[in-house]
Amino acid sequence: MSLLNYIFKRIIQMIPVIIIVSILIFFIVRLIPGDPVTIRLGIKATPQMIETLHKEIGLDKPIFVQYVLFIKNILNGNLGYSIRYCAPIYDLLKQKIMVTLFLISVSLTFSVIISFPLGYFAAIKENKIQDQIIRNGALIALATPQFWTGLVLMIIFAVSMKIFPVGGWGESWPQRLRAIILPAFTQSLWTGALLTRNLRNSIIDILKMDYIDFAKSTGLSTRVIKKRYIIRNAMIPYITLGGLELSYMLGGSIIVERVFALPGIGALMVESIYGRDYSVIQGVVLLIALLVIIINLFTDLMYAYLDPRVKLE
Amino acid sequence: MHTLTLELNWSRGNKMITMTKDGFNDKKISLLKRSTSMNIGVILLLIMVLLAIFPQFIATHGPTDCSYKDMLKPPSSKHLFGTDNYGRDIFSRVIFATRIDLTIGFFATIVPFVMGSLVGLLAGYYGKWLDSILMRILDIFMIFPFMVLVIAIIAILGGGIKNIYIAIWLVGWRYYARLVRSEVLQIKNLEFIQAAKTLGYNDSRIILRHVLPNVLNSAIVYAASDVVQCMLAAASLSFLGLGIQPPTPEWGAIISEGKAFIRTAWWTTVFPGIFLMISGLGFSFVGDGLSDILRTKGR
Amino acid sequence: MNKILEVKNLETNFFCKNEIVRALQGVSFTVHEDETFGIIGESGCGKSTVCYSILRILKDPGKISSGSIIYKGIDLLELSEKEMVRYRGSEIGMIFQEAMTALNPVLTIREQIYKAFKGKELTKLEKEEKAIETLKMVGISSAKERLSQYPFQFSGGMSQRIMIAIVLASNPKLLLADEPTTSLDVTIQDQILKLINKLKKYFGMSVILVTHNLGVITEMCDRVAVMYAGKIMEIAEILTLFSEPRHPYTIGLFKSMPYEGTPGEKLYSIEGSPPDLSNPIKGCPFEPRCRYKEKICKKILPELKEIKKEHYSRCNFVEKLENVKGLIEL
Repeated sequence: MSLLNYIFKRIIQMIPVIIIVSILIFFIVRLIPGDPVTIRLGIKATPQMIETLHKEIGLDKPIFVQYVLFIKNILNGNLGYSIRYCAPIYDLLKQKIMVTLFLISVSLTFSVIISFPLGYFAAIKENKIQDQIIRNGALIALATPQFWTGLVLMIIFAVSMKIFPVGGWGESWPQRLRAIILPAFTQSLWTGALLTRNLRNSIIDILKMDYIDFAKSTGLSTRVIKKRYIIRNAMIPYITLGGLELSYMLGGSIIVERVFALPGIGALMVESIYGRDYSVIQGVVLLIALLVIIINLFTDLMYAYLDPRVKLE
Repeated sequence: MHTLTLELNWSRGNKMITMTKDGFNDKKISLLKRSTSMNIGVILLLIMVLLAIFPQFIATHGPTDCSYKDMLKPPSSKHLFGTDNYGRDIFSRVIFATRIDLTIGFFATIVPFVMGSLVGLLAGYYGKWLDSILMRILDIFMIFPFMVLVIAIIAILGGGIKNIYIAIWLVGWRYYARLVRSEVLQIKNLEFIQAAKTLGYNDSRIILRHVLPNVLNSAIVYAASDVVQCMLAAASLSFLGLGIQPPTPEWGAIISEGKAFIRTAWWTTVFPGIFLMISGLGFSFVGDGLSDILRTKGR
Repeated sequence: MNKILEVKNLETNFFCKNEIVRALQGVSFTVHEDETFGIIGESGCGKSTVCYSILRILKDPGKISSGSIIYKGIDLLELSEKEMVRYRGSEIGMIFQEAMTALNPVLTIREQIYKAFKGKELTKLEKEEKAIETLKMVGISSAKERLSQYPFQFSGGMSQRIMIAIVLASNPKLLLADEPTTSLDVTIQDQILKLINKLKKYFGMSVILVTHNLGVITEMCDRVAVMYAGKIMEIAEILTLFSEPRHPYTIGLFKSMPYEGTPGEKLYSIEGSPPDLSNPIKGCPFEPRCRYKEKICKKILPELKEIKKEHYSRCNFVEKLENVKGLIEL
């Protein structure tokens, strides 16, 4: 099976998953106690308004039909309207997703920059003092909550040293680059710790493998062994974890965006919870689920590219 | 003193578990003594547990004692960690919060541990359609990042400590199910299980006495780090105002209250986080030590 | 005959956390050109460590503590790592016990063979031709398709052949074969051994063959060293060893062969078990299990002495073994 075939197969497999996820979200939102219409219209609603809106949204029709309408709307780009923001939810999401995607991309980049050399170094100095320091450092990073690290970084670098802004999303792109550094770094400490551990462990395992000994015995240079034997093999679990972490960062953005006042979908979700704006919550969750599915797809494809055993078996 | 220990016997390459009445397993104890990080972890946890049980002996003030003339004072000899915007002593609040945070961390982990392991056990052991269904459900749920799902559940149920538990319970079990299931699948085909089957042992006996002890190892190790995750999750929820409601002291909530004053009063933010970190480290070190012990058992 | 390799007093230790495992102690032997030199011994006696030491590919915590390994007149232990790399592959090659795990799982066979052509200026076409030729030489048909495949797609026997092909592609003069057939089934074993012999003749290589299988030794080797507990106990030409074994351990090994006993009789095995190499042993390491021992054997480690031409034995009381019969009669 060639790579193209594999890609195609995975995309096909994605479709039923998306459908099930959408059904799930649809039903769970309907579970929320209270009549969504009265919630939407507020206290001042008259019985007439309630009935009109009911008909408009289609709440008087059987649930199955409602679902179909729901899907139809989504495909048309109609995710509903947010009363709080006075904007179609679709536009809201489109605007804010950019911020979040930017955040997690920069975070992942930082994580890789941190974890790659540290993980490699810790592996070759297995159990020596450098390894212990790196491992314990990772443990510390994993034991601290992101909101706290973010705040501490903010105190040091933004409030006190004034290098970065105290949160917020700038007006221009240079400003935004400055604004994203602290939040991205906060998130990257967590993911970086996990990636460091992962790389360290897999390289230690790889170094024990026979094929490294054999490669050495055939006189291959250390550079070649490092690149094509050690790192190439270590990349498989590393990238798999990286992809997984990227989707987790979508969840983490909820916290980080709140701390640094970034207008992303994580912040949007929190605000919608405060304001009981359920259509927005539904939209955000749907979008996040879709993103995770796509990220998983890409991770799987990368995995298949790196590990020949996958697509050929 | 006799302790019931589970000994792992290697017999011609197959793992066999026998329950033996034994004295102390020498190797385990010596391993325990050698691991300095595990010892540090145990000490840290003991300190935290003591603080949780007897906060009143360490704290200098009550957790909710307000004092309007002492608002937002920096750390001093009278107020070790300074005061917050209500004049409450942060040191005491942090100490009193220990009980709440540790309790949440622990109990939020236990239920998913049991539930998830059970699901993983059944799915892995019985396989076929049960496994397929459970795994499909698991896959779907795995699509939602942990925090997203937890917050979504909180959105439906509302905030408060009871709902934190429910939310984390409903989401946290999935990791254990995956973990235990893959361990069961590995063991299932080992010969000693098949031997037990031919001997006519019924399923529950096989599962309880032979499969279970072997597969719980990775789940236990994961649980140690999961306690940290649950504590952090609960703190994060409280930070967002969706969890513990004021004026109950909880590390995340204290930090949240301090956030508004970050420019002027850094102490309201920094100190509670340090305690979270120390507890997290304690659990992590203990978890690492456990994983080392469980791994070298019987070698 | 010319010497191609001379190992003198090689001492290799593994410096583990709480103990030092003395894997090789005072190992000395010589290998001549065009000769197949066997090293036989049970698991843990150090025979594989000899190969790893010669190529200096010991893994931490293993270190060569003293001795010399003289290859074509150069002491390999005096070379820097950079200089040593030039000897690996093109002068001395090694085939490993488990072929499946010795090959890089994520690279194609082609990429792995090409790497053996390092240092040679070849065009892509020349490399491809040479690769196909090498695969054909080790008996792999449809070589062209095989080159594009990955290690996991091959059986144990084929992987072994591929490994041999990769080693041969660099044209070494000395081949270290570390239990090359132990993990293969019997029919394949035979094929691989015959292949090694064929290639040895074709390329004019010398071979050090490490094994615990007496049958393999008889089929392949010109001279044999018997190892026990990190030391060489006896070295002799093959016919001499099998007809006139002059060490209690060798004699014990021969006696343990199943067809040596009479039907219905209990099979012989040497009493006791090999010593723990982390505890320094005074005297002869085989002493606890030896039926010819005397008090002095506990205290004095016998030297590896030449008792007849090209026949060495490390025993305090070789005279006692004068009349012991071997496996064959000459």
